[in-house]
Amino acid sequence: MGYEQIRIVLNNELTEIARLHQDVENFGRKCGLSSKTQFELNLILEEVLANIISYGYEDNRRHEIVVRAELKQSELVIEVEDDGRPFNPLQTPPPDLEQPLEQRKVGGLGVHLVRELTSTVEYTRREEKNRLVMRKKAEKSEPTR
Amino acid sequence: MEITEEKRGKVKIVGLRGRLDANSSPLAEKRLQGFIEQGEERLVLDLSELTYISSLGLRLFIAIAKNIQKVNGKLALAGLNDHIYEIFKIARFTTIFSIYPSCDEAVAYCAA
Repeated sequence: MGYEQIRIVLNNELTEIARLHQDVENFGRKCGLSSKTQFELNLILEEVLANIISYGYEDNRRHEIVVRAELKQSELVIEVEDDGRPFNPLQTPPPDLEQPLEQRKVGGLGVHLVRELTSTVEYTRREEKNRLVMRKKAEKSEPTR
Repeated sequence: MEITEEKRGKVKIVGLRGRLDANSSPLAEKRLQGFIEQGEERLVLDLSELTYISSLGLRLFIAIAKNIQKVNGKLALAGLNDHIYEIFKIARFTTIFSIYPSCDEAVAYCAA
């Protein structure tokens, strides 16, 4: 089994997420990921990136966010590093999903999805940077013949 | 994201095609709110051509459902693919939305 990795540097703009998806899809194809794993990898990265871009910066300057993903045997290791304000997603309280529609909050689902779709999430703050490392079991696509 | 619309009797069918992500969701939400403001109270969202959804897309469904409820209307979703249905399950959306395999079934529910 091959060893694949990707490193993507993004600006703190939501439009960058389209480029991220494209690069991640190419990576997934090279790795032979199943469409489910591919879908979930895109989703995990979008949730993390959208949070950083929308809430991470107090100035209007350009910032770089570094995304790395690699496939080690059958596990994906996904890493996101940003220089935004400290934010540990593991400290956000889980949303109450049992509420009826009238009481359901409109937001708050992003971090919940990330936790559900990964096997581990580690957060560290070092040298003014947030670093999030997530691990996820990778399913391979069915061979075509 | 491409949005299609069709009217069948009292039911408005809106097709969401492509990706419902951080970029496309706010615009799609505005379009859907627009339909409700125009007086559409029975809404079927045809998701058979929807390929991707993130939490911002999920947020749209909650917002629309709340507004439909305010006007005592009816909302149904149809044609979710397996990956999207899985995300709906994780968000426990399957318990608060009326979800049908086909558009015809969803229209029948909303028309009744």
